Amino acid sequence: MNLLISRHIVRPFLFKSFLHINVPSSSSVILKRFVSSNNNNNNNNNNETETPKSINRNDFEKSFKEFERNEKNRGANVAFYLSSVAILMLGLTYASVPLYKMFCEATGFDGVLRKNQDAEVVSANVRKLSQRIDKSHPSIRINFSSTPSSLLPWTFVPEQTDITIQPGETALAFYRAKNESNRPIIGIATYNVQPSQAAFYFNKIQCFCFEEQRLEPGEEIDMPVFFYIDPEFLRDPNLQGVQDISLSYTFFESKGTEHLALMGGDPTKPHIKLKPSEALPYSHRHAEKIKTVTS
Amino acid sequence: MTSYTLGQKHIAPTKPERGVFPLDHEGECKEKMLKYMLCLTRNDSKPSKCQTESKEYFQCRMDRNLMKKHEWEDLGYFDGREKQTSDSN
Repeated sequence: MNLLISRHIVRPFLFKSFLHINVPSSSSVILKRFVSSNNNNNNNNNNETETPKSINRNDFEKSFKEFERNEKNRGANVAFYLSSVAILMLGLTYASVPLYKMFCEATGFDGVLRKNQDAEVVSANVRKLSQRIDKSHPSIRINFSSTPSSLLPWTFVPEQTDITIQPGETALAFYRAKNESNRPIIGIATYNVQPSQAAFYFNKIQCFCFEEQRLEPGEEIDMPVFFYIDPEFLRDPNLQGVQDISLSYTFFESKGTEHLALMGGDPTKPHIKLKPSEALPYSHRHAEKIKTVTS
Repeated sequence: MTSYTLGQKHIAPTKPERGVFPLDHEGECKEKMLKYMLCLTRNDSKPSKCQTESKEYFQCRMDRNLMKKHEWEDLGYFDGREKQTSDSN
């Protein structure tokens, strides 16, 4: 393939010189080779009887000059060829990043999560689960945890510490979140699955993550997570003997809504401002602090 | 949050397949949720034993337009033969 590319680029120069690449080029040798090649041409044109010497001489000079030019360009030809190879390799290294990503998504290599699927495909997959459940396999325990964020004045806990299910079984779990502050907050959740290779088999049918959830001050809400573990999990050599999977959720404040804090929470009443102590992070813990000092 | 990613590849979490559950602001299905949690504590945290309660919860959500209507098979509840085999757990 490289040959094709370089030929295309350096074709006018490559023709004869490429074949004689091992021969050292000195002027006598050039002349000898030119003469021999010319002889070959003359042998092919044997039927021509009329060859006036003046015309022959001009032709000779022209063709010799061309041959000399080709010989001189041989070094440059090699340089062109090698540089085209180098540029091709450089381009391949840049292209390898998206190509590898595509390969991973298609085959699920090394724990990459599958791409999203259509609603019909999802339903079909869930329906097929009944045939794929292998009851003889040991159950897996899913541990639930949540990471509290000091900057977000929400109480966010899982309702259950763990559940025991089998791969292929759909399971429902709950988290509870409460807005402890006195302003409406828009939060957004993300999750993490450990061990990381198990993340590929962790299919979330529905949950509460990645979309902005708005909680009014003091509001408490149950957030369900509906998921299943793909039965293929049991056949993954990396995950043999794995019996515990940890699922951890974290809530963050949605970017662009922090201004709600300074406005006293209600965008329709911009003139209301919170006291600086109320708008700071950890402000939801100030009340507890003061209590312990005075008591 | 564990972040031992020195040697591991970073895996970006994906969106849920059927999207997000709308928030139950009114707490309409809270009762069903509590029943399901009670069932879980009684049955050693095995959701396979609490299929009735979880079905009730989903039914509550679907009735109050907090969830798209699905057949039970689409939610992984295979009635009939599966119910007998789940008792063997």
